[in-house]
Amino acid sequence: MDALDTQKQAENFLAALRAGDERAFMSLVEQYHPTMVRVARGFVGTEAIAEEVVQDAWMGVISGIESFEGRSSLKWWILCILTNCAKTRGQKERRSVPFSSMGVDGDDPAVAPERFLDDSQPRWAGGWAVPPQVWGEDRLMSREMLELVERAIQRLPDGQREVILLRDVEGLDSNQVGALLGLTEANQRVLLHRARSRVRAALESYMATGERGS
Amino acid sequence: MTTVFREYLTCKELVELVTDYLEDRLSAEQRLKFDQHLNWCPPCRHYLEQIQATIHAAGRLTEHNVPDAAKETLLEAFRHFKSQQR
Amino acid sequence: MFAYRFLARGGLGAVNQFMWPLPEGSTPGAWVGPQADTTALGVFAQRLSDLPYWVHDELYRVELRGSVQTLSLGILAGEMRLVERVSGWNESLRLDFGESCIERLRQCAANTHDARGEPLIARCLIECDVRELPQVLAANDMSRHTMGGNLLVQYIIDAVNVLRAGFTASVAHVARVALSESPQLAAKHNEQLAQGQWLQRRLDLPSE
Repeated sequence: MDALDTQKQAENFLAALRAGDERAFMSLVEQYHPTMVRVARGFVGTEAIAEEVVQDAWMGVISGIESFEGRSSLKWWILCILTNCAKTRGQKERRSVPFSSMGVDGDDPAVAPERFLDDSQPRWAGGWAVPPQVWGEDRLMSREMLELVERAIQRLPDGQREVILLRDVEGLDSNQVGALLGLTEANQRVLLHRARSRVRAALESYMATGERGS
Repeated sequence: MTTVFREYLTCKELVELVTDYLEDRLSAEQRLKFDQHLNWCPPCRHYLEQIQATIHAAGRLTEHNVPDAAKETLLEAFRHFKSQQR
Repeated sequence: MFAYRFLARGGLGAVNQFMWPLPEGSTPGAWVGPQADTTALGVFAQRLSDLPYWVHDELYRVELRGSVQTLSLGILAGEMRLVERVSGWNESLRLDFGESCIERLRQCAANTHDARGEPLIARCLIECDVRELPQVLAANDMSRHTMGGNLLVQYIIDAVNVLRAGFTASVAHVARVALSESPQLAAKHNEQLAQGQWLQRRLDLPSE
């Protein structure tokens, strides 16, 4: 689509929202609400609290739409409001340590060490002892795989979950995620690395045998 | 066991570099070593493909529906705010 | 400036499956930039001496443009285009290359055993069909004699198994590792160099 067309569409949409067009607002809700719940869930303890955070964020959107200048995208602006609400609520709920520093320190290898030949081996130390198998096309396309990915992401430690949600699920780039979560480029990459490694590992047994993990 | 100086990456080293690779944060030398390892190591090619498949699957996670109750609350709030403005 | 580039079948990038613009007759392919290798760093190419590290389905002569950086295993350029396919490099030659790596390994191993006063083992290593080497060694219980501190025969078996699976690049890697990890062998024989020289000779490529 022509870039100018997209721009015009965005301007028209914003104007409609400001004019109180309910259909425009509800389409905005349909589009972003599930994402917002998913992202908020990474900051707070329960689904119910996440829903509350998202409601608060929408209040911020509604009251702020008049003064939104449109210099960034609506999606970005909404996510900024959301993460601010979520962080505040998250801190109130349970965290004494900012979540962003969680899961960065410590040893967390991408693959279990026993999958590799150790240094005592005379040949191919550091090589695969149990190599990864090829993943079948049919498994890659299956709904079970998506469900497994979703569950594996939910089970990640907080920092890792947030980064993979925003980067790989929501498609934000590393600068945006760094800004939203207050992370350095390097920290964000470590979290992303661990998150992806864990999710891949969770998928591995399903992809090999077709059986779901716990 | 004498320590052998290796000019090549081991598989164990490679899997730790996969994210830096995909984020294009490897130095030119590291990148060459990474690509070179993939050239001779089919299992690591599979590993990289698996990470990419994982990322791709994450991107396909479908939206859940918005609960009707949430929709109603938000619509009310929107109407209320707009009416206050007029 | 000119160099080489190995690509996967169909002129595709080995890892990213980038579709390289192919040369047609005497017309080179279009210039490509960093998108070809999915890195802001630039585009990678190989000098003659780098070729053994990058063995793949198709070999092209390439032209480079912009900044050029020499690295340990290749070169990095701002832009690149495929000039012509090196037609001598085909499936058959690729298999020959793999077998040549194993031949050099066997010769080195045989020399070692000859030097140790084990001519029978040396002769076996040289004379039997390379693809049957693992079975022959096992059948004659040679592995018992050679296993002791002799990693080289183990590497030869690794190389044969990988050759059978069809991974030429892996055979070349095994050969390089096998002959560089032993200081004595490495002193007498430079496998990287030997591989490069083999390719140059068989493909009739000009010296650099």
